Amino acid sequence: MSAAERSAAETAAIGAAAGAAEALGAGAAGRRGVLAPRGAPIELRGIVKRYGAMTAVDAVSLAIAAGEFVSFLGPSGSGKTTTLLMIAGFVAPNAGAILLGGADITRLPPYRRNIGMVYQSYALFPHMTVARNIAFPLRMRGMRKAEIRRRTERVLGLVRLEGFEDRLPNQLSGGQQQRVALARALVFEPPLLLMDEPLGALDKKLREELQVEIKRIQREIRSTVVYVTHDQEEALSMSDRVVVMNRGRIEQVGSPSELYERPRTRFVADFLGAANFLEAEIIRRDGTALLRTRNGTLLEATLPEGAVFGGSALVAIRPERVRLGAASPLPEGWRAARVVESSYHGNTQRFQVALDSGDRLTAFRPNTGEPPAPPGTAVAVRWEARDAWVIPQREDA
Amino acid sequence: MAGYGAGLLLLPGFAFILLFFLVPVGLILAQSLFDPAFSLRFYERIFTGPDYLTVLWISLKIAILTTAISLAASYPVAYMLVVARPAIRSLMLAFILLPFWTNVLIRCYAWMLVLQTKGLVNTLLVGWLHALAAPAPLVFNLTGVIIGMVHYVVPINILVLFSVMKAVDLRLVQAAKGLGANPLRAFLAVFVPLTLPGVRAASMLVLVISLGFFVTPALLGGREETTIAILVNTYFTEVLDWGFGSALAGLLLVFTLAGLSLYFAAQREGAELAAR
Amino acid sequence: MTGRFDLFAATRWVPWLFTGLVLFFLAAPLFVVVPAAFNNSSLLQFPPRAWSLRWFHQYFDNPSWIEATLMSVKVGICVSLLATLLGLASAVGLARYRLFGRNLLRALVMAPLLVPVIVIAVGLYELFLRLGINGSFAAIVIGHTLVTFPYATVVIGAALAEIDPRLENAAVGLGARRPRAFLEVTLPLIRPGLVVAALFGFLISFDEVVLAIFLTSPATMTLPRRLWDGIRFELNPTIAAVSTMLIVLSTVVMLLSEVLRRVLARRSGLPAGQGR
Repeated sequence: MSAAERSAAETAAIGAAAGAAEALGAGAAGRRGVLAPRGAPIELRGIVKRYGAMTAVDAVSLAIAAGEFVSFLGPSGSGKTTTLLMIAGFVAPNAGAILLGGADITRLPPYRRNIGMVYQSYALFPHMTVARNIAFPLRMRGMRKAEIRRRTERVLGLVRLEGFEDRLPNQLSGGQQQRVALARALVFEPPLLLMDEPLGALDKKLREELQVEIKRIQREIRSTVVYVTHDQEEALSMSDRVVVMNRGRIEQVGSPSELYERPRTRFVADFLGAANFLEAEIIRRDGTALLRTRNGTLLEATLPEGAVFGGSALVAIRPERVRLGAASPLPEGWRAARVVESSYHGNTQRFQVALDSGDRLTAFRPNTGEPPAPPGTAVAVRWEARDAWVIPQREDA
Repeated sequence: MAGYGAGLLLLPGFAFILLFFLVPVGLILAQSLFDPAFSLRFYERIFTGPDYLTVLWISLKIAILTTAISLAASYPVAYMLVVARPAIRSLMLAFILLPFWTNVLIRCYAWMLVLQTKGLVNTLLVGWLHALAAPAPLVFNLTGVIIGMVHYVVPINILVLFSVMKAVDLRLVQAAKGLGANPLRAFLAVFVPLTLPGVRAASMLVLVISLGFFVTPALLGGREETTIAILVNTYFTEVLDWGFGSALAGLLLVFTLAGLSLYFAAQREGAELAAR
Repeated sequence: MTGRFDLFAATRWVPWLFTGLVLFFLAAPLFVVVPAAFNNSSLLQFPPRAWSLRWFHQYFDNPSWIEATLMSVKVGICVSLLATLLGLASAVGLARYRLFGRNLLRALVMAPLLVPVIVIAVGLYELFLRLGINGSFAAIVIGHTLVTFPYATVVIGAALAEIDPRLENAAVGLGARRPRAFLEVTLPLIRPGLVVAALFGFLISFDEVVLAIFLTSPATMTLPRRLWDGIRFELNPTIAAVSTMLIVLSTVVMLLSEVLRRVLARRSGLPAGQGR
C-alpha cells in the first residue's frame, strides 16, 4: 500500500469520525467553556507546495476533528511548518484544498480566515502594550471599546496575566510573552488555533510548565489546535493525535501510544524515542511471528494487522523494554549476553549488550542505585514478544 | 509573500530618478557626442590640447594624494574607535561628526583663516616663534587643496573603515596573541589582512568623491589647481561652450563609473571573504 | 617576565597620540572662525586686538543674508518631506519587490549619490533652462530631493530590515488587511528611521552648495549659495559670523539627534545604542 493510498484511507475513516466528535465537542464546550465554544474541524485534501524543483509538502491529506489537539512532528525541513503556513494562508498551495468547518478556505486571504496563530518568536508588537496587543485582532474586527475591554480582561485571566495590561512586551519574561501571544491568538475566539513551535525559545523547565498550561487552556475552551514541534516528548504528552512528517509527506498519523508502540515505518520508530532494529527472516507465522536474524538469533515478534510481508522484516524493540538480569544461573526464557558498553544518565543507566549470536542491543534500566555493570560483565536479557514489533518494509525504504 | 503593489510603490521614486537624473545626465552625454551630427570632436579636443591633459593630470594627482593621505590618517583612528571604551568612542565620534555635519564652505573658509599669509599658522611661525622669515604659501596652491580635501574626506573615510572593522572578529586577534604573536604582529598578521578588502573599497570611494569634487579645489586652489570639475563649471557658466563642457562632464562620469566598478568589485570580494 | 622592558606596553600611547592629532586636525580649524567673527577689525589678524558683535549685526541687518537663510529653511523643509515620502515608498517597494532586476533597481536608487554632483548640476541646469524653470523654487527643491531621497531610502530600508517581517504577517493573521497592518505595525516601528531620514534630508539640503550654484536665482538664493558668493567676492568677517552660527547649529543638531535617537530607541522598545 503506498503512502498516498494509506493516507487517503485514513482521511476517509477520520473524516467520518470527525462529524461525531464535532457534535460531542460542541455539547461539552457548551457546558464548561470560559469563552464560547468554537472548535471547528479542518481538513487538508492533497495539498502540495513546491519551491522550484523542491517539493516541500507532497500531497498531504488529513482530517482533524473539532476540538482535537493534533501535533505535527518531524525534523526541520520535513514540511510541517509549511503545512501550518498554508493553513494560516501565508503560503499558497500549488494543489489541493483546505476546508475549515466544511468551507473551502484555500484561496481566502489570511486576514479573512479567522484563525489564531502563535509563533515561536511570539511576534508580539513591540510598540504596543500587552492590552493593545491583545486588543489588536478585536480592533481589526471593528469591535466596540467596552466589548474589547471585557474580552481582554477575560482572556488575561485565562492565561493568568491579570495586572500586566500596561506592560510592553520587552518588560516581560519569555514565558509571559508566550502567554500574551496565546491570549492574542485566542481573544477573537478563532475556530482553529495554530501554534508553530511556540515553546521552542524557552528553557526546558518553563517549557514543561507551559505545556501543562496550554493543555489546560485548550481543555477549557475546546478549541481545535494544530501544533507544530520537533520535540517528540512535547508532541506525545500534549496531543490527541500526532502526525509524523518526513520529507514533505505524512509518515504516520495516530495517537501517541499507537505511534510509540506500533510504529509503521523505521523513520517513525527511530524519530520517536530510541529503538533497537534487527533485520530478520520470517520463518513461521501464526498469531505472532517467529524470526531469525542473519546471526542466528531466534525471536518472537508481533505483526501489524493486515500487512503483507515477504520473507524478510525489520523488528523494532524499545531499549526500555529490554530487561537485564543476573547471568548465573540463567533463568528460564532469558538469553545470555555480555555488556559491551555502559553509560550513566542520571535517571537511567544505558547498556549495550552483545547476545551470544553476536547481535547487539541497547537496554535502558531505571537507575535504582544498583552498581553499574562494567564492560565484559555476563548478563541475562529478556524481552516480551509483544514488545518486539515488526515494521512493514516499504518499497522505497 | 509575493510583492503586493511593490511596483506601484516603486513608481514615484523611479519616475523621479528617470526624469531628473537619467534624462539630464543623458542630455549631457548626448550633447557631448552630437555637434549636431554624431562626432567625437569635443573628446578629441580634450585629448589633443596639452592644457586639458594637464587638467586631467592635476585632477588625478589631487584625488590620489588625497586618498593616500586620508587612508593613512583614517585607518589608525578607525581602529582606535573599534577598541576604545564606549564613552571614549562617543567623544571621538563627536570630533569626527562635527566637521562631517559642518558646511563644506565653512570648512574651506576656516582653512583660509588658518593657512593664508596673515593666517593663524603663519602668524604663529613668523610673528611669534620666528621659525620662518617670511610667511609660507599654504593656501591657493596644491598644499591648500590637499589639506582641504583631506579634511573633507577623512570623516567619511573613518566612518566607512569603522563599519568595516566592527565586523572583524577581534577574538581572532586575541587568538593570535594566545598563539604567541606579539600585539603588533597579531595586528599586522591577522587584523590588517581581514580589513584589506574593506580598505580597498573605502579608498576607491574616497578616490571617486575626490575626483569629482568641485567646491574645495575651487576655493582653496590657485590657477594651477584647475580640475575637471572646475573646468566643467567654467565652460557652462563663463565660456558657455556647452558641448565641450558636456564632454568634460562625460569624461568625469566615465572616470567615476570606472572607479565605482572597481569599488563594487572590491566590496564583493570583501563580502566573499567575510562569508568564508 | 617581571622587570623585563615591555616595548608594547611602553608604546601604547603612540596610536592614541596619532588619533588625538587627527581628531585635532578635524575639529580644531572650525573654531578658528569664532575669534574671527568677534574681531572688531575687518582685517584678519590673530589674536584680534578688539572684540565686537558688528559682524553679527551685519548679518542680521542685511536682508540678503536673512532672505537666503529663510529660503534655505523653506527649501530644506520641502526637501525633507518630499525625500522622506519618496524614500519610504521606494524602501518599502524595494523590500517587497521580488522580481528580476532587483539589484539593478537598488543601484539605480543609489546612482544620484555616486555620480559627481557637478555632472548632475549641469544636467539639471540644462534641463531646467529648456523647461524654463531654472532658478525657480521647484528647481532647487527637485535638485536637492534627487540627492537626499537615496539617503532616505537607505535609512528607511535599514529600519525596515531591522524589524521582524513576521510582525506584519502576524497582524494580517489577526485580521488586518495589508495596508492596515503596515500602518498599525510597520510604520510605528520604523518611525525612528523616518525621523532620521527627514532630519538628514533637511540637513543635506541646508548644506548643499553645488546644485544651489547652478539652480538658484537671486530670488531663490539659499544660504550656502550666499556664502559661496560671499567667500569668493567679499571675504569680510560677516562670513565668520555666519560660520560661527552654523557651527553652533550643527553642534546642536548633532547632540539633539543623538538624544532623539536614544529617546526614540527607548520608546520603540529597543535598547539604546542599537540601530543606526
